Amino acid sequence: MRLTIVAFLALLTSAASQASGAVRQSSAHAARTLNGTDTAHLHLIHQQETVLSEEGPATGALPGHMRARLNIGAVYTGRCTIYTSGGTVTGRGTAIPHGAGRYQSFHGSLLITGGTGRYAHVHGHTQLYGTFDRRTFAVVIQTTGNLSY
Amino acid sequence: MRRSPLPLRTLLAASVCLAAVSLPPRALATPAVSLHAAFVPEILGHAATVHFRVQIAPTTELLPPPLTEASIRYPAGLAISLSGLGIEACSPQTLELSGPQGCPPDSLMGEGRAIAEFPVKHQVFRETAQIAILRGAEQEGHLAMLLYVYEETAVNAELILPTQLFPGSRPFGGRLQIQVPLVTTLPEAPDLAVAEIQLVLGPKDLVYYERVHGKQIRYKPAGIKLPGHCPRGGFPFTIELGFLGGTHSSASTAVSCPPHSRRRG
Repeated sequence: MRLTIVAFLALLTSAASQASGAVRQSSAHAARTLNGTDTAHLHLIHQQETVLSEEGPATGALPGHMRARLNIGAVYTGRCTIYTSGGTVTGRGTAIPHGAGRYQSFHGSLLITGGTGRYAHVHGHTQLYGTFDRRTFAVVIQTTGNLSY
Repeated sequence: MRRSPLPLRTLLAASVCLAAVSLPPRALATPAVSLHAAFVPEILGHAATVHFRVQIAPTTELLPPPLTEASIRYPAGLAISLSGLGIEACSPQTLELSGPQGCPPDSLMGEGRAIAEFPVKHQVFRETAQIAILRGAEQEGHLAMLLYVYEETAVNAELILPTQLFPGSRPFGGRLQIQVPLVTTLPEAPDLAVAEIQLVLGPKDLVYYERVHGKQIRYKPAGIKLPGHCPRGGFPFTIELGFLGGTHSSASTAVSCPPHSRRRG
């Protein structure tokens, strides 16, 4: 079954943040604070019971390629990684679904748990919104917040 | 306990023509229950329609006591909520007003039938009703269904059984919890007894619709995907029934692994 996920990840708008001077030095490394919105389109790779493995391109503030593993239960849980040219950003999220029609909306939060390369020290916490298409399994995710790396 | 009148055709005829002498309420014995389950087709890793059949037989009494609830546990690996069945939801109000025809076509998840029994003059009468299984609105994140029981030839012979799907622990994947309202029969007679329930959950005979590039497209929903591996001993099912008066009965069964399937202990 084909699955498409459209993910809006409000992770980081590095250019905007840096231009506005949102870059701070720490004793360990040059920390940057990022905020903004990002979009990812994913499709189904594999389904194991209620666990969906998906991947697809991400565009916007943090362009790259996203892979996600979502558990579609009474509460949505999942883990996703965005692969960018500068490194990866990984997070895990939890969201509560609402609605009874074909499209279920959900909202929750995404905790950034780690990264590699430029984002080796990434951390943060964002809000998570979206919809899930029960017919095609397409998902729209919006996250908003900021993180540091 | 909510009671619903169900003036079935036979019940009406019997009450008029036979000058019925109703049996008094009786002490409740634990009835014997049998469960049968099947996948059609049974091909591991492919979508299927799931069939249940529950038969309830009295032990010492003429009839089993009235059924109040049923809990069906189904095997792990059956993701009913991601089966593509029940894309839309129907409300109990719509069902009561218009029946399944008033609900979105994409809310129909399956069908079935129920056989009810009631006593008239020490004789047991049986009546068969049809069941439409529809998706209802989620309740606290859990998939909900509405079992609409109806008899096409009778007036006011509709009954809605609220059903919820809860997660289960291994070796089960989930549990269907069905609430059964009591149904009155003749004056001073016991409530209606359920002798058999058959449920068919899956895409057989279902047609859904979706709009693609401005056109309405018909399609058949995928159905409940079977796991790629068959557990040792087959796919387990259990049912627990609760009866008026507090008695309970249960039964178990397993769907045998298909030939040459990969088994997992």
